Amino acid sequence: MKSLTRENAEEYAKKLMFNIQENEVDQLVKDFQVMAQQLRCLEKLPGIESVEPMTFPFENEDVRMREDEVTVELSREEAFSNCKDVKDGEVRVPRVVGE
Amino acid sequence: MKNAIKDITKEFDIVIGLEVHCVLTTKSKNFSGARNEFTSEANANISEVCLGFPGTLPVVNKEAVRKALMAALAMNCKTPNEIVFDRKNYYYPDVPKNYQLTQATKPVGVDGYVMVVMKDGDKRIGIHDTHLEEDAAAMDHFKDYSLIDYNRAGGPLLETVTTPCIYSADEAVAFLETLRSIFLYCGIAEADPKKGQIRCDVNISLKPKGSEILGTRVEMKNINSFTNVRMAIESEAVRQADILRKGGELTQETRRFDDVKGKTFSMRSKADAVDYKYYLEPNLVPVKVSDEWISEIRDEIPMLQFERIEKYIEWGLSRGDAIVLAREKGVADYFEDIVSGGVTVSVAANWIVEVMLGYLAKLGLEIGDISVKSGMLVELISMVESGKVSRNQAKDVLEIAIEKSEDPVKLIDKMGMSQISDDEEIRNIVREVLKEQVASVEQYRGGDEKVLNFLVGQVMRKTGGKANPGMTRGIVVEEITKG
Amino acid sequence: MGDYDFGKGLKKISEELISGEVTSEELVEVSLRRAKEFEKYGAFVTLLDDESDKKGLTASAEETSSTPPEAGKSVLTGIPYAMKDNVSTTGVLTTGSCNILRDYVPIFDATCYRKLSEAGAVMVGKTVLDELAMGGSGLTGYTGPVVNPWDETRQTGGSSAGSAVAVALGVVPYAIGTDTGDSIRNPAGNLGVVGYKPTYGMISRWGVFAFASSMDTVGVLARSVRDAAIVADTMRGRDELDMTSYDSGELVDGLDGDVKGKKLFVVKELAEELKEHSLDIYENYLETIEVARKAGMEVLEESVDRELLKCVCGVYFAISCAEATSNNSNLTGVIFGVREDGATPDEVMINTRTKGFSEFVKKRFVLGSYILQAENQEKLFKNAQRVRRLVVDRFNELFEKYDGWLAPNAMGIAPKIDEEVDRLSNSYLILSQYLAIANFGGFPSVTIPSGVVRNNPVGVNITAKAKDDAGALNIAVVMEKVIGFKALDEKLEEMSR
Repeated sequence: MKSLTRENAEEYAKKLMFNIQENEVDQLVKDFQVMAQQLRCLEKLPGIESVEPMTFPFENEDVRMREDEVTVELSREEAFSNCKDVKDGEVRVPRVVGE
Repeated sequence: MKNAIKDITKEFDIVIGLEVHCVLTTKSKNFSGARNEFTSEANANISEVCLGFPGTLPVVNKEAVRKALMAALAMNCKTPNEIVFDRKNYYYPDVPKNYQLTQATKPVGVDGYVMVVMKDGDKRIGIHDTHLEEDAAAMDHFKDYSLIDYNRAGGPLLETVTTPCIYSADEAVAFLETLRSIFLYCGIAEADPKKGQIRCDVNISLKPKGSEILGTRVEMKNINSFTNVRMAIESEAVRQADILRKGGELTQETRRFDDVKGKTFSMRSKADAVDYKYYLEPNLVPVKVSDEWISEIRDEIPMLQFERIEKYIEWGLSRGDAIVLAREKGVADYFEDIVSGGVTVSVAANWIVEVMLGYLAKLGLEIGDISVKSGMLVELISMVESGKVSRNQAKDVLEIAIEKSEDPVKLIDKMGMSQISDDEEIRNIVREVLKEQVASVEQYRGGDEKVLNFLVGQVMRKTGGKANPGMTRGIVVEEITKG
Repeated sequence: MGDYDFGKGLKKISEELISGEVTSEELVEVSLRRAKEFEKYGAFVTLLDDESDKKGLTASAEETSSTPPEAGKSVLTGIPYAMKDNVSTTGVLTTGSCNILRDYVPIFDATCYRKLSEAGAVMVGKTVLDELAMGGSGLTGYTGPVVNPWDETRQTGGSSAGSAVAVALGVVPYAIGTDTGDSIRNPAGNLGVVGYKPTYGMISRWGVFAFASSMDTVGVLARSVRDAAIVADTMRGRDELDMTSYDSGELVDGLDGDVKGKKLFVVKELAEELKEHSLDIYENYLETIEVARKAGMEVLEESVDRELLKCVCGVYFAISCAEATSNNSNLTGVIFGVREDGATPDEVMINTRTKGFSEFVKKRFVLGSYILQAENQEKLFKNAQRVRRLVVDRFNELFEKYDGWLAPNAMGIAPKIDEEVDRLSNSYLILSQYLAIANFGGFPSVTIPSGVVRNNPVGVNITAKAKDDAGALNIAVVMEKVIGFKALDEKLEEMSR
């Protein structure tokens, strides 16, 4: 398991689409070490590998899927009221590279 | 190109795997109540969920799940005990949430197969899995900027992944056509490439002929027509063979197929594989798939193309005709209807393949759209068989009926079309013609059989096409011989 | 109008409105006035007063509080309240206390907000939270730290810091919060108010910014258990927009105060650790156990494996950070939010997120991402999910025999603002995050004030099995009565002199 270090911390951040500063890296690595230690406690529990991972807190017996009906019709004005760059009814971004 | 490929296959095995994305036909999107419809107006079918606003939640569309399960069953897959989804995390401008909801953990179908009819025999294509996911937005690229249209974002997409068991462009295209036919037969998708509803990623590698070890795989993404799939496979096979023959090495990469230039280009994207950090979507509570529901869905699957082709061949039709008839469910159903209406199989096939389909193509219509229902055609055919109209007359009437949305049988009455099947009547006109066409008669007597057609044609002209052609022919010969 | 004591309870306020003793406009006016008076405590991001009306936000609170409530419409009609700023409110700024969303105005309503509006409740403002609900101190909202009126050198706790303070300061009788690990209950305990986290899914999460989707719960901060129940009743219900939501029964109806024969358990290991760590809080805890007994309930000691308890912290951190990373990947400035420039879309996203997120959440995102990485998932994320199941199973076992778990609300009083904590000490590991167990299992959990220690409120927490909200609330309402906590009323009186 590759650790989070000063060297690769920035790489991790970049993949999440943000940069971190030099001074932030140190604290991040410290936090990582604490987290890693805390998570080591988990491995110590006997028979842990055979337990089924839990995503949902409890079973929902009466879960229902959505009926196939059109229930939303947003106008472009509404939908893009928070958008900083709209052109001809579409969201504009700088030219996507590689397409 | 064909020769180039032939050469390649002498040295190498081409190994292909396909990932086909098909938009399902539903009223609303996969996880929200936005409209799911092809439109040319940008951002007309969007909701808060499609745009990924904070606080939005997905709720799965029951009809999309049903259709996906149907596809899975039609592809002979095993279905799961519950419906769950995963998040596939990656950042891209056409993915509003920067994760896509898909099924990695429990796809709606795994370990299936599809039988594909090919010219030289049938082939079994393994289906690794088929799963339900949401579509991305569409982007238009200009010189300095790109525009994003979210109409497709969040739409229901069925992704079907084959095993790497396809060995040529022909097989690939045949598989795609079969897959499309399955979707159309089941009524789960339109799969119209022109509307961008069916797109294909092609994985291709070459290995020395007979070798067990697969070569380096290259992926070509988002190919939007079957013709382009063929071109992409062939041009890429040539490119790879070239490199390998020169002793070079191939890089595992993603390439873009340029349909204008007819070849693939390396994409300027990141070299290392993206880690999608898949994990179960916590907002989509698992929905149990009961055996009853699976039975219900299975019962709704009509007999599919492959089985129908087999059936028609059993009935005595040629493989070619069977393939044509089974290509579209509407046509196949129509054909089977007229057969159950009493028409002989070969006659029915002839009327559909040689006559009906031609008219439909000419008029640009689908068999489901026309006024001429199968029952009417059965009647028309029986009128021909009983001699009330000639086959030619019937063909003409049929075309008019289709064009004008009428009942051909009623048209025959209306237009006063009927065949002259009275011996005396025909004979009188034949005698007239023979008197006029002395030179032709001499030719016939001199051994020129072909001129008979001309003489018969003259009789037809005089009768406005109403003389029974079979009878006419016989009577002309008799009269000449007599005379 | 002079001052108004929102502590008198929703039922009483509603009666006064109906009888005409007071009008809704007056109540709203008092609320806004107090909010401005207590501006220095930094509880609000947005106040719906004339000022915000002028800025073009929706009708001010005063305008919406028009007609007097009719009897029977809803107890909440005409009464002001505050909403945590991670809940979508159409036309009203909703920032998540995060820079990236400092200009985001939703175009749709959260279901819980819609239901309150339909009942005629009057929202007077949006309250500060720890950025994106990811903290527990009340210090990390982009508008600045929320100040603890009991002791300005101490944290309020979080993340529903602003909501807790707004209620504690008598600005509103109740406020809406969210709780993913203890974000309602922690500040409630620090500030001497009631904090109720319902069963997961009882109140729809549609419109509520997602932090950790499998644990996020909408809840209430109020001056009494009954008031919290009334508000929750109004917001609850299956929502077709939230697949995890379900229909619970009425809550207020079940508050009959009858707890004879009910059995509660305390966790021996927690008590022991607490005794070591904070003797005075431990003693308060013992007193509340006596209160429960005096009320007719049995309270017994049970044991939970210490090694399991030590894992709770890591489990909470791993699952919440992992889910949060993904839940916030939509914040890129492309369709909404602040957008920075860039030569490519990637650059736009990177610049926007770099500037828009604080160091605090960035660290959480990186760690969350690390936990989800393919090569680490099995050992980190999946193990955390496994231990979550072990913990929930253990507590479900206990809930078979008991009607509730009585726990101290925290291991200490509100920490000092820059308190250094050793996050690897046994004490920390066992005592810092056990309230999250209620989020692991979706259990209903109510915190009520139980006393004052070193001049700061302390609380006790009652947690019951999933969907037994009525049971938990009933136990809480009884204990609340016996405890008779008056310190907040006294403090407010003192502050008004």
